[in-house]
Amino acid sequence: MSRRSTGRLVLQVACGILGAALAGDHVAGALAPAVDTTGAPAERALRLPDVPYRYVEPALPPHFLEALAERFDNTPPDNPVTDAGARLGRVLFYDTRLSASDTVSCGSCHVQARAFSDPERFSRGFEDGRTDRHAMNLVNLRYHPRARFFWDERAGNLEQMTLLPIENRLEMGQSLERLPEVLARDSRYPALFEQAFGDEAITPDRIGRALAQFLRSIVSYQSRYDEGRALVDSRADDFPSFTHDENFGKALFLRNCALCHLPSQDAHFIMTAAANTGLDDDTANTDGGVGDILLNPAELGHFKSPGLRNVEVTAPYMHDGRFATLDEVLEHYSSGGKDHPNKDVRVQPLNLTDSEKAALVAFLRTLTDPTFLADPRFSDPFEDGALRSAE
Amino acid sequence: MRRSLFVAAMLVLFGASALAPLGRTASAQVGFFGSATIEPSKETTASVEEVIGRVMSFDHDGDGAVGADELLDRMQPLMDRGDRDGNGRLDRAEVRALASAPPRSKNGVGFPFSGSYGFGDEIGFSSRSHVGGALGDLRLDGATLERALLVVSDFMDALEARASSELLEAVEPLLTRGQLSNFRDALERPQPAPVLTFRSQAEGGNPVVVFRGPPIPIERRIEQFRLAPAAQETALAAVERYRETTRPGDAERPVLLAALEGILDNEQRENFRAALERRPVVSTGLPFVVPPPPPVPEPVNLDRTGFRIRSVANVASGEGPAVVTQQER
Repeated sequence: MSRRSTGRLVLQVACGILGAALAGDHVAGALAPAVDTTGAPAERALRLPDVPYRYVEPALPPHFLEALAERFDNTPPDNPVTDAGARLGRVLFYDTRLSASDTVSCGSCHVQARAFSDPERFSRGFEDGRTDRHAMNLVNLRYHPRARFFWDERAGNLEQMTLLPIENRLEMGQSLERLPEVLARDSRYPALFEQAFGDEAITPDRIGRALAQFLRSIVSYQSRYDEGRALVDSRADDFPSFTHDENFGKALFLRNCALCHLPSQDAHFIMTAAANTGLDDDTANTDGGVGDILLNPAELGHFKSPGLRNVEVTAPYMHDGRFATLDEVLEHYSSGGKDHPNKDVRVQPLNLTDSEKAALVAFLRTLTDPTFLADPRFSDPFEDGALRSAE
Repeated sequence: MRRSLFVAAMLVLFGASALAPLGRTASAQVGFFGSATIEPSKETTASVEEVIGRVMSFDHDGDGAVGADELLDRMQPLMDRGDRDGNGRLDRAEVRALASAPPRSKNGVGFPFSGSYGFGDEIGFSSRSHVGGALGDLRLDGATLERALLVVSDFMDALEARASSELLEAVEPLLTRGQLSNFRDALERPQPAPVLTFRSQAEGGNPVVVFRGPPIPIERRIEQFRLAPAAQETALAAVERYRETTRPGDAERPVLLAALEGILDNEQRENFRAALERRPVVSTGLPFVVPPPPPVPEPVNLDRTGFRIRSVANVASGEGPAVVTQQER
C-alpha cells in the first residue's frame, strides 16, 4: 500500500468515525476495517447502524395493499426479504470488489439520488468500457409481476438478475467462482452472511439472494401522488393536494397512458410485459431487445419498460438513453413513433397540445419521492464510497 | 352531400344552444369505456427473414456466419441453442431454425395479465362516452362543465339520431318485419346511461361519474338474425357506417367546438379538439375480477343531459369533477 493510500485510509477512518458519531451510527466492532498486514486490498470502513434498519413490511399506503396490487409482488417463497438479508445485500450492492478491478459496484451505475438509475446515457464498466444500453432504474422491482428483468427480459427473477452484471465481460468482469473467495478475505462478511443465512458460507447463490432481498426492499411509496391518492376514494377523483395542472395531467395520464403504465390498480406504474413502442423502424441494425434473446419475430424490438415512479430524476430515458428530457419522451408518444412491424397497437399518435404536455409532465413529477431518494437504508454504507467512486 | 347538410344543420342548432342560459347548476362529467372483448388489432409482425437479418448484422467479418466473438455478451446463449453443427458459428440456416420455433416468452410467476388491445370505436363503445370523457378530462369547474355537457349531449343526440335513421333505412329491406322491430328496439333503447354520483363536499369528495358497460354491440343483433350471407354483409356494412356517423369526424368536430365558444376558453377548446381526435385504445381482455362498485342511492333522472344522478349534494361546488368506470373502479 502506498504512503498516499495509507494516509487516505487513515483520514477516511477518522472522518468515518467522526461522521458516524455525528450521525448516530457507529463503525460496528465486527465491521471495523481490519489492519492490512498482508498486502491485500484494504477493507473499507462500513457504517451500519447498531440496530439493523427495518426492511421488512414497510408502512405501505392502502392502495399498495389492495388485492390486485398485492399480486404484483414477485417475492419468491424461498427468499423473503429479511432485515439481515437486505442489510447484507446493501453492503454487497455498494462493494466494488464485486468487479474484477475493484473499481465498480452496483451502486456505481445505479445511483440512489437518481432512483437507482445512471445519470449518464451509457454506463462505465470495470475497464472503462461503455455499455450499449442505459442503466435502468431499480425502483419497486419487487412489483414487476412477471419477474422478468433487464431491458430484454433475459433474467427470469431478481436472484438471477443480480448475478449477471457481475459476470458481464464489460460491466463488472468478475468471476462468480472467485467472488466468494474475494469476499471471504474480508473479516466482516462471514458475520453478515451468518446473520442473513444462518451460517458463514459465502456462495454465489447467497450473494444473488441477498442482493435480490435488498432490491426488493427498495420501495418508493411516499410521493405526492401517494399522498393525494390517500385523500380520495378513487384515482379518478381530483386530488385535493394537486394543482389544476397536476389533476389535468392525471386525467390525461389515466385516459392515454394508464392502460400500459398503471394497469388495473393504483400503486404500480409498471408495464406488465415488454412492448415495442416504435422507437426504431430498422429491424436489422437497431437493438432487438427481447427479440435478440428469443429470436421470436413477434418480439423483435420489444423492451421492458421501467416503472414510472421517480421518473423525473431518471433521465436519460429509453433503453439507449436517447431522450434527455421528459418533454422528448412525450414528443415521441405524441407523434406515435416509427413504423416498426412490431409496434404495439397501444402506441397511437396522441398529438398532444403544449398545455397537455405540460400537464402530463406536472403529473409525472408528482411521482417523485424525496424521502425514498434520500433514505439512509438504501445509501452507500461504505465510508469512502464517494471517494472510491471518484477515483 | 348529406353529411354537409347535416353539418350545416348542426351549426344552426348549436350556434343557439351553446349560448342558452341554463337553469340548473349540476356538475357532471363523462368518462371512459366499460369492458368488452375483442381481438387484438395487431395483424402484422416482423418476419423470420427480419430476425435472420438482425442476427447477420453481427457478421462483422462477412463470412456468412456469426461467431461467438461477434455476438454481444447477452446473446451468447444463442450459440448453445442454435449451433447445431458445433462449429462455433451460427449460419443463416441455424438462425432460421431458431427463429422459426422460438421459445415462448416466460411469464415469470404466472401473473395473469394478458395483452390484447383494440380501438374502442371498432367494437361498439359509445362515441358519446368518448366525447364526454374528453370533456371531463379538462377538469372544468362545475358550472362550466354543466353548460358544456349540455351542448355536447345535444350534439351527440343529433349525431346519433341521424345515424340511426340512416341505419334503419339501410337494413329495412334486409329484415323481416319482426326482425326490423326487434332491431329498432335495440337501436333506440337507451344505452346504459352513465351515472353521476355527487358526493358531498362536506364529506371531502368531488363529484364523480360512473359509467356502466357498453350495450350489446348491434353487430351481434344482426348476426343473431342469421341472414343470408350477402344480406348479412350488407347489414354489417351499414352498421359500420353507423359507427362512423356517430363518431364526430373532421367535419363535425369544428361544429361542436364552435358551439362551445363562450363556454370554454381557447386553450380548453384546443385541448378538447386534440382529445376528440384521439382513438381510445382499450383492453380487450378481463383477466381478473374487479370488485363490484359500492351500493349507491336511488337515481334521480336528469333528462336533458341523458345522465342519471344518483344523489345531489353540493353539486355547485366549483370543484373539478372526476371520472370512474366500473372497469377502473
